[in-house]
Amino acid sequence: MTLRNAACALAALLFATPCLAHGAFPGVNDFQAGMLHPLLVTAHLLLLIACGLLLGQQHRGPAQAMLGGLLAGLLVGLPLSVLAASWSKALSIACLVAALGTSLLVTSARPTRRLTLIGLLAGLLVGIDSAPARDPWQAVATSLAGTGLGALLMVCVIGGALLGRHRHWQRIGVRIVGAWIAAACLLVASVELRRLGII
Amino acid sequence: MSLPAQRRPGLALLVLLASGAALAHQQSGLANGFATGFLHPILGLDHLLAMVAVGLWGAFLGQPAISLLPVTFPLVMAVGGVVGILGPPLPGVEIGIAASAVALGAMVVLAVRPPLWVAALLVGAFALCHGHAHGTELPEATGALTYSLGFVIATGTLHLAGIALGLLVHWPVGAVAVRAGGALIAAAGIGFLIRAL
Repeated sequence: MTLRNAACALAALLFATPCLAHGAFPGVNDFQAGMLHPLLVTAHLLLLIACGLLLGQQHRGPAQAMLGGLLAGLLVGLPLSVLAASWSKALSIACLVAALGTSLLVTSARPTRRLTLIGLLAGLLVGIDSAPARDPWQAVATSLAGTGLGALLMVCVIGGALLGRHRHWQRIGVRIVGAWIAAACLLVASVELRRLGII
Repeated sequence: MSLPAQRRPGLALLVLLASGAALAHQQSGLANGFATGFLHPILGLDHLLAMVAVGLWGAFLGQPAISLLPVTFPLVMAVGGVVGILGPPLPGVEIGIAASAVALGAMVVLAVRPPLWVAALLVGAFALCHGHAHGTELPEATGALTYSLGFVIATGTLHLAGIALGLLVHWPVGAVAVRAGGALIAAAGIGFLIRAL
């Protein structure tokens, strides 16, 4: 009887599937999982795409200032993420609101100071909301480093692809994508605020 | 080594429990929400025809309407969606959706070219109705963000498809075909309107 119980317990253990916060891919190491994090969290993805679109509409100097702000925000925000894991819901909504605001600004060039501030805010939000579900501090640090690099690369690639491409139809394309992001963020931020009973 | 007969059902049950679901096109989480949202305007014929009609009419109106509509429509639709999420019912929303196909189809078939603000007002009013209908379904959706992203992108893509078809107006035969398309949309809209009433 005891042997049968042990066999049942073993069978139940074998059937258990891993519990994954963001559906990490098997075989992916901590750094790669961190790099993929901004791609898998839709609110981060939208915020970073909006930042990339905005970056692509600027001249070289303001664009570099915005990237500097983003880097500074990530450097401050990523270490803070370890302390802010319980604020995930509020941070997600903040990311959506930031993505909404940023995507509405993609229509033209903006002052350098404002761009730096937007970059800083985006980096902070993405960084603080990227707490990895890992235990050893080495794994956490590696994953956060990957997240920082992934976020920075995403903005650089999208912005770089658009820099200097200011033809009429290209600007319309950017505005359309910006409007789609803004519309989706507005809807979901409303749903989340409604669920929390704030509105 | 043979298994006693009384233990065979237990073993069979264990094997059955161990098997996973067979999925030809596995979708979960983000993909599921996005796919459901993306298909929502495409599978709803009333939404689909109205969105294509917006694009067709935009092509008829030319610049700047042709580039303004795909930008403003999703934003106004989102405002309608927020109203739907917050709860206040929009009276006659289904009638508004049906009427959008009739009115926009009629604008295309008659090649009406009003001032931009009149066109924007008309399209904006219909965008509110469509957005409200989407918004009331959003809180129950799995993965609200990817769902809304899916239906916003699908809506925009339908506009772009309508604009692409509408560009045929530059050829005489194309103009006839586009206006015939508008007539079909208006006729379908009358059907939706009768059903809604």
